Amino acid sequence: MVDNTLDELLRANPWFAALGEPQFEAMLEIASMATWPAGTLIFREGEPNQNIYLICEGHVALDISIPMRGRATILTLSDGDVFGWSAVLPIVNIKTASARATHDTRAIAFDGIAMQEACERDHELGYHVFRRLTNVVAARLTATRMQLLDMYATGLEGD
Amino acid sequence: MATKQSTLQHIPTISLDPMLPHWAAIAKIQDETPGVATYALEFQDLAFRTAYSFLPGQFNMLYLPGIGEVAISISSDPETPHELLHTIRVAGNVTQAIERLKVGDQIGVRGPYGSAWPVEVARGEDLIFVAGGIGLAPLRPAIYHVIRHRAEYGKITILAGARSPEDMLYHDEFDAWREHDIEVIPTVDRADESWQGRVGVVPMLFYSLRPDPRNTTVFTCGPEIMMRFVAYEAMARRIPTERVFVSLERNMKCAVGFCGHCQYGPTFLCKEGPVLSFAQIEPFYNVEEF
Repeated sequence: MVDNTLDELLRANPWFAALGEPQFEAMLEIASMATWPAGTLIFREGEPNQNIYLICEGHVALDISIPMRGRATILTLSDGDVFGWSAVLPIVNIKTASARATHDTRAIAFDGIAMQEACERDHELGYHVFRRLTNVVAARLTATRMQLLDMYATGLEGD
Repeated sequence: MATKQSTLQHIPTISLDPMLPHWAAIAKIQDETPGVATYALEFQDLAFRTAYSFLPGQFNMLYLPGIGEVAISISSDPETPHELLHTIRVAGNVTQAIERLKVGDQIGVRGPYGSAWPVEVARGEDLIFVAGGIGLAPLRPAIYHVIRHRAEYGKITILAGARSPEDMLYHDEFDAWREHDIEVIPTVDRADESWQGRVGVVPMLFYSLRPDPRNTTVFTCGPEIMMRFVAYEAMARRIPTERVFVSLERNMKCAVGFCGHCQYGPTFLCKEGPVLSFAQIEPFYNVEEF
């Protein structure tokens, strides 16, 4: 994987392109790099919320454990995708799915609590961050609806 | 098959009547995924077999006497039309009867009918194929076309969705397609940990693409709800709806625009379709009655 500095990675990412310099610096301050070899369990379902991640390179699978059935992969994510967003929007203060790297993966990690606090201090930043997060949640909702529809299910309505 | 053979004797070798089928023998049956198989058909009339040609995206009406007809897209290479393939999912009476046929049995074939994927118009552009389930079958002739003419196209991406890994159509061809500088990204709606590919609905794969809206054409075929969201994702990336093409399926009966069973808004899908641009159908796409 290419070795870019955190500053360069953030500036190249569409998430931060619209930020003014003070807001960008606030994000940079709470960001860190995270890398995982393929197969790494990044966090486990039930663990306390801590970080939100923005994938730079690689693939991450989100799994949910189903009693008596084992783990089911509900979604895979790749470059540009966000996971762990409940760290910023804590409905429950624990991870509701496990995340594992299915390929060598690099991401930018943000401390969820620090991000909430930064958004509270600067509502312009907060508007930007939450607008982005709303898009992420909306896309997940759309994807979940389509999965629920089971759109490949075959009826016997044809010839 | 004696009945079909006797019927065959009364059919002219080459007919211009679009309602008359030509008889073809099943040369090979290949199981694909649960409930889906590909049938290789060989026209019995050598002159007709030699003259037969089709365009990518067109369909044939397959006929079984006493049972009925069904519209099935052609799934083979348009440049080798004598190797005529149809990938069929068992869905109703006719396809259930086809499933019971064996190699050597005969099927009546009318066609080819309908509009085609505009592969010539898209020459020089990047192409994104988006398939869901059996929807990869009507797209495969266009994929074969761009492979044969690879240098004439820009970046080519195939997004292939299925319900589960077991339902992924033509997966054994993906590596061969990749050898032609084509990115193939399969995804499934549900999987266990043994699946190493993507999980998630196929329109969401657009999030990992950065298409150039000035130079990208999208061909999509699959469940209609999937194609709707594919069109939305393309529109969100500023790809003009005139360059997003869908293949629609309705109750095709005559296949020549006479009977009106396949009417969709102002169009007869058997004649003006099945391949239409999203711009053509957008006014009707969310009308429940259609």
